[in-house]
Amino acid sequence: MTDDLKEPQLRTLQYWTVDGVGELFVGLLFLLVAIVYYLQESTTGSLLSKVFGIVSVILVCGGAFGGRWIMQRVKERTTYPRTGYVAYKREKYSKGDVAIAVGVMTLILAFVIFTTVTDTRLTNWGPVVCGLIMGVLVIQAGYRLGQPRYYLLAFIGILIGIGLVLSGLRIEYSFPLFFGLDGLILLGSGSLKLVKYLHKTPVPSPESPDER
Amino acid sequence: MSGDLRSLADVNRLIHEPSRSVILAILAVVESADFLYLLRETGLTKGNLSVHLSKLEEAGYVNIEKTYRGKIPLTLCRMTDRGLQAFNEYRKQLKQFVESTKE
Repeated sequence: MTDDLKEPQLRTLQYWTVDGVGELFVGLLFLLVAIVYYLQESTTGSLLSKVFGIVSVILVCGGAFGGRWIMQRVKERTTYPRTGYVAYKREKYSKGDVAIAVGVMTLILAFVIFTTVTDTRLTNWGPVVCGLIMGVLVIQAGYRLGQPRYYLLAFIGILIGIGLVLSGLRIEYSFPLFFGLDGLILLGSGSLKLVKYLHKTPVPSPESPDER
Repeated sequence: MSGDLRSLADVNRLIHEPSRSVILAILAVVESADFLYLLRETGLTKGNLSVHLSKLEEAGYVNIEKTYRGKIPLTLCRMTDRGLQAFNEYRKQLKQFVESTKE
């Protein structure tokens, strides 16, 4: 019966994005991925390259599974003292959704491990493919959260991907550049959002904010 | 008076108060929320929110837990199963009434 409580549901979901912490986290993760990928490519053929490959897998997995925990710790210092704490209901996913998510994650992991172990180079279309995949995910998030600015972020990501492919840069440069630039855009967008949020919402007066 | 029309007369008076129905609408879609979040979302004053939460707690619709996050006091509110049931019933009755009075 709570399925049609659209307005409060949407407002609660939007609250997660109110401070830009999510964008900052993903932006930072992209930058790290870019640096590690570049280091991996520049040490191709050596043992160090394999180490960087493993680090990139750890980064992606850590970001996917530990991201929420890290963001919660940040929000405990920035957001909750200002505008309050809310714990979200665990979403109930259908078996189909879980199967698709596990399938996609497995494919990505297998792909990363395969390219690391065999030193396979990605084709030059890598940045466009990544831009499109991320674009779709960001657009979906923007639609779900009612955040039109996500559409702009997705569009910029796709443009960066196309621009890098058209530039003719070799994949070992264009791929980390894609993640680096996209990461910087997300960091910039998240920082602006956070500064605006901190400016607009000072911590409430010292008298207990939750007195009853 | 038809059954559907009568549904409004039988409505839960404790929930049928704008501030309390807003509080319950928020708590129905989250696992829990603290006092500050409810304060900002409802736009009520601290005193008003306190009074309404106390009434909802007395009725067993809301569970209030006083705790700490680090050194900061935290008042966590969550809707009970009984509260959710009562709120859903209330919404059902309102819907029936609106449907039966459509022009």
